[in-house]
Amino acid sequence: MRKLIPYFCGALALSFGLTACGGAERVDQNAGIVTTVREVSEGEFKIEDEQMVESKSASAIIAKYADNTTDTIPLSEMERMMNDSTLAQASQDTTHNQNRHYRHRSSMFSIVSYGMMGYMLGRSRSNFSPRPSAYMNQSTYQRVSNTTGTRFRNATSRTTSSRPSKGKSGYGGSRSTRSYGG
Amino acid sequence: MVDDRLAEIGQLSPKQLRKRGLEWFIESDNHDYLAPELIRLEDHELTAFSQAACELYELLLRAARKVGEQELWTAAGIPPNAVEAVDHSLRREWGNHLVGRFDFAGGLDEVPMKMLEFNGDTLSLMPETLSLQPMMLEMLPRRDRKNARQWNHLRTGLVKGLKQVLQRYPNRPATLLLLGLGHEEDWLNLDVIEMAAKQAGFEEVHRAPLAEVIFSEEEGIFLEIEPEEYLRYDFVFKMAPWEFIAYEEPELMGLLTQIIKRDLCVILNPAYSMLLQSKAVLPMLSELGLQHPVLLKASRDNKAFPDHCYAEKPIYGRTGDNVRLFDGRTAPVAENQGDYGHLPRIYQELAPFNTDSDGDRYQPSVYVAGGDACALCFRRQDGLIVDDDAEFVGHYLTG
Repeated sequence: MRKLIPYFCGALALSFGLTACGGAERVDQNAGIVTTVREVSEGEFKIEDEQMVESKSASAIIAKYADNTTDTIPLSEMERMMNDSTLAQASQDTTHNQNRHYRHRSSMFSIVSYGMMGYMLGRSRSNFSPRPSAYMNQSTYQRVSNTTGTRFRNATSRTTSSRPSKGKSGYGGSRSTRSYGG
Repeated sequence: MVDDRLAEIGQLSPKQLRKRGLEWFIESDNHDYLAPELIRLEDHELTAFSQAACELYELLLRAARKVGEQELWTAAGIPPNAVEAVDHSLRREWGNHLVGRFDFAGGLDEVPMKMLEFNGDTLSLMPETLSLQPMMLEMLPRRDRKNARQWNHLRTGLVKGLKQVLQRYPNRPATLLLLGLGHEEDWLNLDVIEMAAKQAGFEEVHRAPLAEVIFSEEEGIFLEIEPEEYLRYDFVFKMAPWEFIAYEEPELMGLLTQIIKRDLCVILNPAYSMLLQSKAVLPMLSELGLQHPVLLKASRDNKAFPDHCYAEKPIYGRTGDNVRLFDGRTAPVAENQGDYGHLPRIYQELAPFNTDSDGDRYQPSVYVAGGDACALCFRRQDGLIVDDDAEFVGHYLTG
């Protein structure tokens, strides 16, 4: 029997680089994500909202801190900070004067990557699911997952058309959500 | 007893599962779903499962053709509003069947192997088989892990089948829409299809709940990607059974019939898969001249079992739903509720199962994908009917 080919090619490294993991996958250049996180306790963040934006370069994190201040961190800055080898030290360094919330950035980025931002930035598309525990609560997760989540996954660079003639939808909508798999 | 075959592996790490998006399989109601053991097989036992699955698959395909040739739709359990689609599919979509899963009883030690059913239309257990089983293999004690293997080529089979579909329709844009009804388990199974589809060469693979999908009998199958912007799909894989559509959404059944007849979309698994799924076909097999030692006796009439020992099953249904087992007495010895109680029934010979010293029954399952038998997994049940309470059990081979 031949040896099983591993399902994953190595560990899923969190990468904020521009290249997607996996040569066979296409990176959708069209869409981006703006993730809003809220600091729920000292240094701990949860995702409050995720919105799709028209271009990847418009992606950003909006951070709402416990002291009622807000930060907007654009994609370019996220990438620079994750590549910054001093980030790990900065998380220890409470005297860093650039931004007094700087030291919380790595936990913030972790949480953000468990949502749709992680999907956009290269976590394996075929097996990625946003982690519900990264969100403020279950209903936030459901709402975001069913709207932005699905729309983002379906974003495409293909040509679209106008509404098909005699098109009908809404089937199966009233059914229970029990699995119909055999 | 299979106790000697069980190797302790403990529980999979929740962190590892979360990394792969598979934590659903251990959360809330699933907290005891994954068995902390692997079951060991000998090569010859695996060969027997693989061979039986291949032979039975060919047999069921032949049965489907005969049903079509002789137009035995009613006997085969095809609702009237699905006949046109199934008939067309047999003629024009033959070979498009992508994936199904056999459920067996026995097959180990002295217990004879018997086929319980074939899930030929929609199916589950794919992520467990493909992704969790290899993780479980890694947890064998070092000494056993060295020579341990698994028969787990579901991805290869799916990729092969999907490539065949693409090759068959070379002029169609390679866009695939995955349809679910909303249950998380369906999305996780569709993740497996998505992964294989991308590897097979599908350029765009999207997903949506059925309620959001737009069906046009003149233009095909669409999603509204952006307000007023619609994307058309040339291929669809649905995790909604054909009989569900026929019984519960007859208008949609009509639309899909027109869509496939007009070549507007390739729907997987194709409509003739109903004939592979319907248990009403099982009593017909011997009547159609098709025999196999692994087949259980089946009848439309429980008088075929004068000793009153049989399993009563609806012709369509999820595993275990509305199944009643009779062991000779008037009242059933086991009975499950479900949504399929109104459907016609068939009666099937009772099959012995392999068990362990806890009394759990083991049900082996074999996948056929891309025309090949390609993967094995097990479930075990504390009880007589294998249903949602079953545990998933991985397997391994040594030497």
